Amino acid sequence: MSSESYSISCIRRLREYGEGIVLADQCISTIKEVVKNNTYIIIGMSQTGQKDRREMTNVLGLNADQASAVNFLDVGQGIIRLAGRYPFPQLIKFPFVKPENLSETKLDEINAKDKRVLDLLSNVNHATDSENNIRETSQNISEYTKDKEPESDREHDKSIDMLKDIFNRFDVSSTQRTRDFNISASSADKIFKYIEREQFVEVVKLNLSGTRGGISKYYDLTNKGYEAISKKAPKRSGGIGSVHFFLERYLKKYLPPKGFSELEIEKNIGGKRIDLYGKYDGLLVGIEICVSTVRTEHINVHKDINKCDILIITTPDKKTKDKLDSELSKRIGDEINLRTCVVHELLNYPGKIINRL
Amino acid sequence: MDDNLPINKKQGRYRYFKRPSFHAPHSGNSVFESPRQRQVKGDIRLGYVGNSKMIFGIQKKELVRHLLVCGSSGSGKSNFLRVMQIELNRLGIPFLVFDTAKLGSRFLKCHMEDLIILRWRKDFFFNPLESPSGVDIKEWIMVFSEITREIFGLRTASNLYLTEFLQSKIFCSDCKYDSSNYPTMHDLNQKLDERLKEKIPVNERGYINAIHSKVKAICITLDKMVNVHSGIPIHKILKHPVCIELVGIKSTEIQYWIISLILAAISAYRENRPMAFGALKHVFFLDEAARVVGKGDI
Repeated sequence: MSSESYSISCIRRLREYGEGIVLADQCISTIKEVVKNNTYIIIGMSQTGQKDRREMTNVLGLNADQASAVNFLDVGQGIIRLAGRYPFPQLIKFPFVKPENLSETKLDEINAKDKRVLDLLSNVNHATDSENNIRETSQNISEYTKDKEPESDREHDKSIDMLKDIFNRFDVSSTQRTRDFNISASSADKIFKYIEREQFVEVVKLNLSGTRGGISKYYDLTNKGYEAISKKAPKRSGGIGSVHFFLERYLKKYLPPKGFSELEIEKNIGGKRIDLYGKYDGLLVGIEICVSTVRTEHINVHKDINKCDILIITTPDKKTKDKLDSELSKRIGDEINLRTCVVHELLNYPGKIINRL
Repeated sequence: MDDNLPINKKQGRYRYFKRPSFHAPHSGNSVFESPRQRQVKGDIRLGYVGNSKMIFGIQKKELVRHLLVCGSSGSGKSNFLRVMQIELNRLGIPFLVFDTAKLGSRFLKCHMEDLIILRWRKDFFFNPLESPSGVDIKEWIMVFSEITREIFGLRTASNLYLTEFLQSKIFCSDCKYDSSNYPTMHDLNQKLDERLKEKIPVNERGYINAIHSKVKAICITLDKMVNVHSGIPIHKILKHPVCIELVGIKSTEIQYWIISLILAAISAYRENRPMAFGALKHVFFLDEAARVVGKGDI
């Protein structure tokens, strides 16, 4: 004879005393048969395991067509079966209840004012510390952590300043920003990790100096980031990523001192937009930024090459440039007005690139 | 081209799998029965039937015969439990829910102001050795030992020893405890410690070691939560919609030990009261139910 656990016998008895039990679990196959057989309402939601699906089909009494439905249940959909009244399995879509955050400090305030909570706590009779001193260490730990403001709330406040700085100075690396804020590397790291985790920013890692190991970390604000500092997000032309968007603005800012003039972002010439368009030494220069679309870049070249004297395709790194070169040589061959370069080469020696044959 | 790939002449190289519609109301080929409104009408509204606007509800008296919901991670199980809690609150039925792994029910506070949230570190105090109102202490000691055995996997002999130890050493006639001043888990831990220091037979030492390791773990983990002579009374908790947050207790064994004890306390308290004869008085939510009512292979 197998023994029944005490909890199951409690559940069995509680029915007579008006206590309803709602049981929830991830796998239907792990629940004891006696529980499944004695439950009036059974709801099966999406199950991924083969064993669980089979079990759900049996428990809900599904026919072959209905059983196939188990494989395709969406989030928030479930199949319900009542033991009586309406004993047919039925597909149900549950309404979505949007949860709203409630911080620890806010809950402290609510509970401190709630008369019902105070009433519940009025019956509590604490043992005095002198009676039980076995956990001195644990009490010490709580002294350190007691009444501490939640980490995330404090980090959020600090991160706002950082986000505002990113908005004002997009072209500053994270290392430089740490120095300017005059904070320690570890506390800056905490803030950066927080804004990354909360998706306020996207990380852009680039080597813009061209030196060995000179990769720096820059940040590009996401829509959520703009919202956090109550600023309007700038319009981006369809589908461009954070690296592309960052490089457009960076080149526009740093190429004029190197001899470029009248630079414009996303200039529309004859229905085709060129990422950057300007003049250098009397020549009309178009700059296309190629981050990942190496295979389709030749289409851009065909469209842009006649609209300017020199077309430069710049890539964020050497590896992408090599791939681009091999792809262009296959598709286009030699083109006198076409130049390819890594972005730091363009920033440091634009003359050499434009005059290169 | 790889010849093994399935080819569909109309669609090109790949054959795309079309997702079937289970309940397209106009297609007439639904795989589920189409109920009439009166057949699925109920006090507790759960959701919509298929893609229609018909509401599927269950009656209060049906929930007394319990509900089981199963779904993999991300299938909307927690959302369903929130729907249930909102509906119960609308009908004025108190309930008790436990948050063990993530803060789920706390975020319902904006939808129902009545919800009481008790956190194990701050607002929730529970003495497992305190018998619920109206329950004989000897009966409760047996329940306590039985649940401790089940959850922590103690042997039957250790269970019997624990029952005997509680009766003879903790709740003995010489001890100063009364109905308002129950011994705490820390007292039990201390007494077991003292007993271990005495000269005792080897088999008794074995029983005590098995029990003591668990009791000590409970005292260290829960600390002030169980260091109370009397905790929050169960019969008062049953009057309100309450969420007990056990998030942060890293031992699932200890979490489910508390939950099982509270369930047993409710059961013991109810059994000493008049029967309800089908009327729903209170609802107990048990997430990750397999830990309590599972086959034991978790």
